[in-house]
Amino acid sequence: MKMPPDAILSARDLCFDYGNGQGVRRVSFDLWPGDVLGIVGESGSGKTTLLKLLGGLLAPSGGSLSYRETSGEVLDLLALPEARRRHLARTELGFVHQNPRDGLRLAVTAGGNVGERLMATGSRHYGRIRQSALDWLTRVEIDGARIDERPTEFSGGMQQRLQIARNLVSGPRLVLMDEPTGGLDVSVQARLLDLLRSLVADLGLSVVIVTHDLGVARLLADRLMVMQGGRVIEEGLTDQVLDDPREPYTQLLVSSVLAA
Amino acid sequence: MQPILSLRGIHKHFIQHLRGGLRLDVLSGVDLDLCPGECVVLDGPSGVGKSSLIKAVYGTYRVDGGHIRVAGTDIAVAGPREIMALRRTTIGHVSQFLRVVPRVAALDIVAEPARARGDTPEVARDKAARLLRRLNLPEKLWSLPPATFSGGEQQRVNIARGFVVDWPLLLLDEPTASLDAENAAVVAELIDEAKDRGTAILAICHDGVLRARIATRLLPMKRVEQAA
Repeated sequence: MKMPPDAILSARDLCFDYGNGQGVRRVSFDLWPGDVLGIVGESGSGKTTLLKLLGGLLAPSGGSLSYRETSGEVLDLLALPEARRRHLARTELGFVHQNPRDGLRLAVTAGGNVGERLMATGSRHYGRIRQSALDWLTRVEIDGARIDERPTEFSGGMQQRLQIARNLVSGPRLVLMDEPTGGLDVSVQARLLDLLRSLVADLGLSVVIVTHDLGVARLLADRLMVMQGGRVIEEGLTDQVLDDPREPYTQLLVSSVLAA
Repeated sequence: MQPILSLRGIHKHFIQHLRGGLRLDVLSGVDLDLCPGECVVLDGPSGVGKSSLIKAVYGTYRVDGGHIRVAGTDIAVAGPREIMALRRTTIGHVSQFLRVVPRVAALDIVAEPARARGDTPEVARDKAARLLRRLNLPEKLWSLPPATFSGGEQQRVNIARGFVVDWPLLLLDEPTASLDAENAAVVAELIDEAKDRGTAILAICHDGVLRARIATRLLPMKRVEQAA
């Protein structure tokens, strides 16, 4: 397939069928370094399924998915040997689940959760791993004194920030986020959004973020894709889609919120 | 002189699908050449499409016909990444209302476009501080997020953000609507200085005194006849 020379991820005609008419139908897009792409739409529109296809959590029934490594080498993600794919998933890719419990190891301490990805990439020096974990806990505004506690003792907002630290510690280039502020109180959401915004900008991450919250999309995303019934029905710059929506469904989405 | 902005035959309409497909024509056949150092003020009563034209030039509204050429790019057909690049390097925009970001300090909101264009954080914050001081925003507010500021204070943050970079093209939508005379005069000075540096400005300005001072010419606009 054709991949633009400077893109980091290219999807072409990705499909997935749950067998009940729902799924993802022929979705194509390119993602560039530092690019934040929001995917919006209602429940059942296929946005989380698409994210799972991108993250390798589901295997598409058709289409292609290419990823360009730092070296410039282009990988066919759908044909990658399992060991190579898992290595990639622990190093260059991040996946932030809506429910932090799906992305954390609950029986392991906060420090262990963050340090695990470093060990997976070959770090063996305990002191340095602990120090990195401590640095990242501080960066996501978790008190370092709680490094030896388990995530089950944390609030929902703290768990989500821990999941983010766990994903970012290995220095990923591409982070996939599924409703990262979904189950949180509004005040906790604002803090997490601001944190995500500054981390994404400071680290120059490429991000695909799924959200049904247009305010979140407005704040974080450069570009938006609107999904309905498994298809992308409208796309463009975030302000184009939200301030000048063209499709009937997008107009309905935009007019259904109070102020985005 | 070579225009920095060239508009030819701009058409824009909205189709309101939730209101039975109601069609609203807002721009029809707008032409304009804007050269460095010029300030063109859009002229006409409310509802003639002045804000829509500003939004079309910024790429927020997608037009249905015509060309919007800025620095070699036609915004009417450009992709999102080309428009983002122009917004980073070439086009500044002061909207009527500041879109506040939770927890980000006023000083950093102002400094952000300078940082995005390559200034170090220190240089960017220094420029931001000088502008906020000129616009008489009390220094004790600089480290606070503007969500709780008054309308006039938010507008001054917004203006400072627009002038923190020497943009080749600057779009101003009612920059002084909620300002007192003293601060409006500061904005007039900022506009004069930008013109002297060669910034081309496209503005909406209902304040007659300010408009007479800043406008090098007016672009008359009138309401578009609605298609039957």
